[in-house]
Amino acid sequence: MFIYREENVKDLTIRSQGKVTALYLETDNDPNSIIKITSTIKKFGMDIRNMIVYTENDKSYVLMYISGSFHSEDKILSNLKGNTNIYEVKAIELKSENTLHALQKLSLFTDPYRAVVMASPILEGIIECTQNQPSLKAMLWYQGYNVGIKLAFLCKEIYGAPSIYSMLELFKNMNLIYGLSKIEYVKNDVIDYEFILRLHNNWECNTILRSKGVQKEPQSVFTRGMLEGFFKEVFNGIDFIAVETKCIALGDPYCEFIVKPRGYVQYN
Amino acid sequence: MKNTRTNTKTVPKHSERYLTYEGKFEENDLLMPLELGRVMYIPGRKLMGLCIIAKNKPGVLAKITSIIADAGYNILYVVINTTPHKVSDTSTVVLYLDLGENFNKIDTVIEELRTLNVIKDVKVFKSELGCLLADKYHFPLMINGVRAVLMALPVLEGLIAITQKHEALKAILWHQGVEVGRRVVKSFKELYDMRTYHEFIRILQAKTMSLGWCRIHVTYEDLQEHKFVLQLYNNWECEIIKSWGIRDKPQSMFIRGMLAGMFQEVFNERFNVIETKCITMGEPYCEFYISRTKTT
Repeated sequence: MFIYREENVKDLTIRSQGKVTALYLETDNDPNSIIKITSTIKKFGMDIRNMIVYTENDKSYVLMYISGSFHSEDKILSNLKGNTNIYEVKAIELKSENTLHALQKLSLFTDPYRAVVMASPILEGIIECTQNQPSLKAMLWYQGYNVGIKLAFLCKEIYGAPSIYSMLELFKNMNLIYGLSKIEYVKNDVIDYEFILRLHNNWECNTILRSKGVQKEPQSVFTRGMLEGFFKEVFNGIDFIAVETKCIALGDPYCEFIVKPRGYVQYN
Repeated sequence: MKNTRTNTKTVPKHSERYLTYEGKFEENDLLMPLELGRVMYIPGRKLMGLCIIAKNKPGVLAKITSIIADAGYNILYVVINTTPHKVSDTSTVVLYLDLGENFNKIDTVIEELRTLNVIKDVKVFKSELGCLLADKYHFPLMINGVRAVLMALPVLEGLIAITQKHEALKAILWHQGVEVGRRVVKSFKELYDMRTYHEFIRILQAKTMSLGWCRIHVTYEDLQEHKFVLQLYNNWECEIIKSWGIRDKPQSMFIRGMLAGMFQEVFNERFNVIETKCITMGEPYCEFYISRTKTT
């Protein structure tokens, strides 16, 4: 049983109360190279705050944030540059006071796709403008619906999920990986097409709760659309409907959805 | 406003520090994709993930990687997490390993790791479908203490696909962008104590780049007339639309709205944003003319 921890996407942006330097290195694909790098950092009394190592073919690419003595920086750089296993060493400019951004990097990827990171202000903005009119909520639903279809396609066509159960499991993982929500299947009946899902930390309703306070009725629109799109694609075109019976925005600990083929759901 | 690119050499003095190069970025030689590693999919390979809770001390990673190197396993990906806002006594190290044919040693490696006095716990995540490894240990994602989600291509396509079917809906996407832009600038003010236009641009360039949105190049800025020209390379919105086919007119709605919302929030005035060049038309970048809305 995993205990979920918050993932700081610190490889992208970091704020610090002290001196922080970012280093970018290219080395050969050998664990000993990483040992040499980290040993060098240790030798000069610097602390590795965050680090990413990604290997591809014969090379490893390292992005790291280190903190500690200001005067050690040049010594570390020259020491690392003198290592034959390390092809490239660059210190990254501090772009604004106490805020360091990995400016040298573009196009984030999470296998196999390009990705962008959307933090809270962006998520709030996406939802906020649809809150005032029901017709605009329909668009948000449709956006979610399209996302659901695309995720089903990803599970089925790209990752080659062999069964409905494995698609549902992958869908749960995709939601976790992308940070959308943590899905718990309460009922998973693929024979009678009845599903009950609990979405813990559902980004949409968390965002509404934070920005607008406790609401009187379930708020999920995007996520509802996403579930309906996903299940439709999984079950080869059968229209599903997702009814939100519990909602984080109502003060519930999670959002809960009953998902059934359209026409099978009783609303009360 | 003329629909042509402005000669950067005629730009006023105040923007000099942004225009020290023509058409190229100073850091151009460093540009390359960054693999985030939340999921790794390598068909035909036996993968395994380790999540190690360790003491935040220099040399810990060296000890961990030594043990793995001695066992002969290839480390595909490593990410180390410490709390960025404060000095923490704990680090989380996530490793993705390619076990190859020699996966019998992995239990010994895990046991050996557990015996290290700097390591508090070792969790294992196994691959799905044999070759799909996902970090199921970390949730939710955070940036500077603020929750974030990762919008990968399927999700981004889903967000903007609707507007390709219904022309009238493009306006709503634009409105979403405006709201996003306003909130983002408010967050810049709160998080980074942003006060001036130049601080705004610096933070915007850094954030859009580091969060994978696009690279922004300011080619013209007139702070008295409030006129600006921005070039956006690798703008995700238009790169996605371009993947659906070349278009005969600019397509950006969300990003265009976002720029309008941002400039509105920075200057407390309404702005027009016109896309004059677009990746979807085969251009190398999207170019936006941003000017104060004229009031009569």
